[in-house]
Amino acid sequence: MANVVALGFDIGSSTAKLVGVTADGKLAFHRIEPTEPRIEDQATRMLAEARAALGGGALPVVATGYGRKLIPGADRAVTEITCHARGVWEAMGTPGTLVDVGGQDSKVIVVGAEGRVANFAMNDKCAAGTGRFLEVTAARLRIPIDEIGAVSLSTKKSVPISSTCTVFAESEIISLLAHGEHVENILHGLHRSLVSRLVAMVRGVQPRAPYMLSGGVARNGALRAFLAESLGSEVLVPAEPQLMGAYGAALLVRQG
Amino acid sequence: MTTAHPSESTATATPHDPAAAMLEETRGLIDDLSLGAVHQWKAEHPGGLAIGYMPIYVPRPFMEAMGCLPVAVFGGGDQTDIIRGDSYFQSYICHIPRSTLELAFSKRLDVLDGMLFPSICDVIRNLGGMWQMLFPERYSAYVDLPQDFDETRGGLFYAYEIKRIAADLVRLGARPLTDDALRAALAQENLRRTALMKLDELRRVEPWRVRASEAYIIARAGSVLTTEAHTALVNRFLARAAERIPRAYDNVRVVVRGSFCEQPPLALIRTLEASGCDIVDDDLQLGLRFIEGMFDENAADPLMELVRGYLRHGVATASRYIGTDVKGEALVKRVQACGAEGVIFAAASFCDPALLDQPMLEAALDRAAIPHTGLKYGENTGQFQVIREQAGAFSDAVKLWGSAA
Repeated sequence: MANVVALGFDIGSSTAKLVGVTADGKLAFHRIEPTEPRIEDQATRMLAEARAALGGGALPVVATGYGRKLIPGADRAVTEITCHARGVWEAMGTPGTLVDVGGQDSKVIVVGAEGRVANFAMNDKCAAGTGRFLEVTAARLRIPIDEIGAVSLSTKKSVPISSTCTVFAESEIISLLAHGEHVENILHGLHRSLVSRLVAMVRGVQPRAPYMLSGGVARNGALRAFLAESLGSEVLVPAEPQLMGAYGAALLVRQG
Repeated sequence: MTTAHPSESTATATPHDPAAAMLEETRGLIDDLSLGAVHQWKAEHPGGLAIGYMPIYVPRPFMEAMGCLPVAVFGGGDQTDIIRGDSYFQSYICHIPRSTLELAFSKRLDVLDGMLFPSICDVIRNLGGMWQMLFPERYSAYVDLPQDFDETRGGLFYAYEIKRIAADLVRLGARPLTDDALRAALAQENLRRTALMKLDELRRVEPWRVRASEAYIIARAGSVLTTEAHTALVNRFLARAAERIPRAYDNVRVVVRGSFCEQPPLALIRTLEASGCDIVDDDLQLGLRFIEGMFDENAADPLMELVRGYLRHGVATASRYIGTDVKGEALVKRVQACGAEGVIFAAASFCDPALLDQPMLEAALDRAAIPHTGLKYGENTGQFQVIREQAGAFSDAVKLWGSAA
């Protein structure tokens, strides 16, 4: 880890991700924590711990994520869109269309040559179509978030969830449970509902294959499978999908 | 990379900012939808007429020469709940006419003795027609700005238009228009133009010293002030800005186009700035800068001088039918002249003039390899996250790769 030359810090609404890269752009270090209410304090501590772990030297930092302006000592703040595009291009080695499902918003980014942003769309107005949508419903169904994808894939039956609002969807789920609907069918329908919103965004950006998926939700097998089915194309997932923003930020230290 | 200063800088204002108090006070002027400054002017000028007008441009000097206060009306912005205004316009119409009606229904425009509706677009023309039906007891007139820029045809027509409205204003109680008074008004307008040009120059050369959002506040204050008072205000601000301490950051320099009529919320302008963009040129408050250059304040026929200003020196904007190639070339030249690295098209939703011109302007920029992006807003837009990310991604792309995509 001693050969880390730059850090990328992605403060998201759910998690804080810190990544170190080597001179040849390899992801050589990372830390992930739940985002704390006091972002400045958390960022200061995480940076100090990282620098200590990496030999104590000063390292340039590019910040991204919704808390990017709150990271003390960051050399630059760059948008998540730019960082995700740059990170996933480096990780996957190809232009394409990236679907990033974050805790608070979701984005579709058309990634061009060199990881440049060719086009994008994002959902920002509510939690529908975001990781939070799944978190809320997983909590309501008392199923660990890491397991909801597998549970969804355990059935072929999909119960349509008509509500596009997370709050109303939760009410709808309660109603379905009260009518004796099976949990796996409800979850199946929820995933389909989320994917339909993502695909609508994809259609709006003049997408180009291959399709890629990032964010913590990318580990959810059902989401990936349903997305691929809806798009009629394979969906690629980088090795560390949750770190693509921070990774891209670290890579951008050397650029511009 | 540039270090030590985040690209998404915060505004220049600090607790020790020598211009902060003045900006705050001036902000009060433009936020006051009840037009307190106009009430004050009328109290100080008994019998004086306050004449409202819609964007983009009306020839203010002739009204000032008649002792009137021209008042620019930019709708209700983001501070007005539209209750009745919506019932007069379809959902696919821009926002400014409905909020302007709302201001009138809520009696906040009662201080105005008349309203002028210049020929911007069909929507504003229709608003002028509705005004006559809804408020028949109030004076209103359509100002038919010519699209024939020949002095012997469009010029004569335009002079007639001004004389027609001047005669109306005399009937309302204004003093008659005289050559000497008009020359004096043109001279005052020249002084304001000089001050505004200094303001524009300052933010082009030292954008850290005057942010676009600040220049906007200072310029827009002219909506409710006499030309003389506004010039003094601009000059006072320039003096305050000169005292500011330099700060460095690595924002990209952009030109904003498309915001000439319905104005974006101030928060949107600040969002663009906070996203890493220095707006070094824009068409906000275009009416005050519509005539490029100065009037001949000693002209033998000052009315025709006012007319010639519009015919020959009007800016290349959407409301002028001068061919999209001309507009595209003008935009490219403008971008190059102010050293901008890109263009952000920011148009009001459903603004036909802006949105119809935009593809041709984009093509001109593409030919000149100038990066650009586009967004739409409403005067009451309250969500800026997508705009922040879009402008930020544009700024990032220009900084990192020198182009938008």
